[in-house]
Amino acid sequence: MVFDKKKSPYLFLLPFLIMFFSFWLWPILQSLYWSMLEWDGLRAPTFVGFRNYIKLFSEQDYIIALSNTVSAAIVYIGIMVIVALFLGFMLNSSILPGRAAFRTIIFLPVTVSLPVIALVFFIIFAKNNGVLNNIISTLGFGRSIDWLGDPRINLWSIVSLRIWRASGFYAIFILAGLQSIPEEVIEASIIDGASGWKTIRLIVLPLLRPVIIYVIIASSIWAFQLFEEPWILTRGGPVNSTATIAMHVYRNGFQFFQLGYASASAYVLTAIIVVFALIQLLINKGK
Amino acid sequence: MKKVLTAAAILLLSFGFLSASGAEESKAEGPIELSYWGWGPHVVGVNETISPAFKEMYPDVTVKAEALGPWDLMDKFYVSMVSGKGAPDAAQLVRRVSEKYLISELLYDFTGFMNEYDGQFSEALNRDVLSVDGKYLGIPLDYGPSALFYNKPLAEKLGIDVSTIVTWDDFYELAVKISREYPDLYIMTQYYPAGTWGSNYYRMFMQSAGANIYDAEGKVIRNNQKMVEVLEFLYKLHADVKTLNIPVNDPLMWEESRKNNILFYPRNSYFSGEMEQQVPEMDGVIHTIPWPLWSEDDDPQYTGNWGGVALVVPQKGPHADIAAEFCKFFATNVEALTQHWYTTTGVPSYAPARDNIIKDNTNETFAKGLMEAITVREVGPWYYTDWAQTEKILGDGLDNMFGGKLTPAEAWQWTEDQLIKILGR
Repeated sequence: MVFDKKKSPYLFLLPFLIMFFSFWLWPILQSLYWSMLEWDGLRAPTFVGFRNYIKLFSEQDYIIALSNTVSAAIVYIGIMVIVALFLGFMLNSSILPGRAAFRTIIFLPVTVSLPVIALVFFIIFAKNNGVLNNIISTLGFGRSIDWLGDPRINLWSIVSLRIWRASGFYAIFILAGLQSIPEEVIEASIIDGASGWKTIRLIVLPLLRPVIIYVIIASSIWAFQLFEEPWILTRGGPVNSTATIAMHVYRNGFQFFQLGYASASAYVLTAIIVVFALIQLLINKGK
Repeated sequence: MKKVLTAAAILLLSFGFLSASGAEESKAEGPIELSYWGWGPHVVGVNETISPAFKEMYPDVTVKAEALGPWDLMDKFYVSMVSGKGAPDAAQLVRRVSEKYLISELLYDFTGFMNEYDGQFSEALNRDVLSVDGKYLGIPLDYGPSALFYNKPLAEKLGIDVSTIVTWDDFYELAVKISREYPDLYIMTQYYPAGTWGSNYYRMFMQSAGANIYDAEGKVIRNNQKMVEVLEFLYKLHADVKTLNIPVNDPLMWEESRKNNILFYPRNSYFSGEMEQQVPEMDGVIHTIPWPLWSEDDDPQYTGNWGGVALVVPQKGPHADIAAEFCKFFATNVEALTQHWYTTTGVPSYAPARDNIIKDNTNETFAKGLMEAITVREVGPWYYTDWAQTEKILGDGLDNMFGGKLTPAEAWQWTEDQLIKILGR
């Protein structure tokens, strides 16, 4: 059999192209079209153009969900990266005994199923006889705090759970990055008289930048899709104080049967994630 | 250009192939396996008892029930209806939110059957969400009337005579007194209003008071004084009584139950089945009394209802007719429904089955005295109009009240305004 050298590569690419169009591009285009429909998925749809997008930004619940999602994501990413860096440095340190055991322990939270974690955090955050409130009470501060019920703090309680859960996972990436830095570079800086802090600031962190950027981008996608933890712990309440865009998408799509509206909501979320990732890539490129 | 056209043709053919391979299989002959989606212990009952009983009538048909979580099931059922693929032959749905499926082309029409059994299914349950334009597109399988569950040994230890609780005022007075005497004890569970189940919990109180959000035409009842009174009571309870505040069925509740730290559980009949699964070691500990009245003069004496289960059959399924026969069999089979009661503690909607359970009550439910507690009350009328969205708005209103942002009267006014603004009702 003789293969046409110009055409045969397309033949080999065909399986990938089919998968790419069917499971990646097609759903994206399809949901973009859906976002311009008024449609419950069960009856004939009505084309409404950008009306769903306009409605989104006039809906108070959506604005609250958007604000919660963005602020939770920024705080989560900021603190999580610092904690992951700290853990990564700690795990890379030769003076830490039992490093392998620590590595496993730090990685464990991300492997535990969410309902189990939710139970543990309910016990920690419980208003009456919760672990945190018992500690506060032992320290002499009498008033018990409603960690999950007080709209001023409950989003941050959930963010702290997320940070605890994800830091160990991303610390492993930091650790891998640290271990890929040649020892000679560190040794050279020490020989040149740099202090420990200067070595970290001027040598290690710049070399670690691609890993840190990766951690920020990868974690930001997860951060903006905040759903499971507030859904299990608070169902988005009270008064939408822990509601997020992902929850808005789910509620409107699956509970209210507003597929077009939910698609528009999902598209805004996607746009936010893309813009956030682009900004980070541009910052990295600029440096 | 030729290359582009060729590539496009290949891609189109590929899509065609993919679509064709996902097409519904043609009607099978010979042995049939019906797929049935359900949740909870109910599924075990279908596989072990109800399916074999149905097989005696239809030897070629086997019903295989698959267990999913109730909201998982609702999501998957919706996806299958939207995509037209992967739907089961029959399913149980959360009845209070199944209103949006009432489209003739979508679900099997049970009108003939429901007319034949006219009066055998409670009218209060039929009229709510399963009928549209005079057609019944589902069968009400069971429902969950409210009752007041309590930890009997704990009540006895505290010297409480539960028979003195007739009205909610009686309950409140007792609850405040115990809260003061035993500050470490949770008098009752109270749920976060946000989200599906939380709102529904408070709705039981509203329904039992004879209140309603909507009228029969689906319009929001304005200046709803009855509803304000219920909210005022709930607020008083929240403020003065020590309650365990959690989402519904949170694991923490089972933990505190095991430790005998919760005295009362204002819930619905399904709660007995849930407790049996979650805290089997409490067998014999949990007892029930009728849902308290709002006044001793209440006539009729109402209780609330969790909502219940509907049986539906997707219209376009390859075995829709036989699946419909199975649903009819299940929903009217006294033996099957009696079994269903003892596994799920869902009260059969089919009156003869309910009467049979009352007559032969062996008191074998996990929570003792349950059937007696629920049958002395009538389920209050309730209109589940646009219920999924209403539940969310109601939850936000209650959140505003419990959070101290609004008084009960203001919270209800806010809820009314939101319902009118968002749902246009």
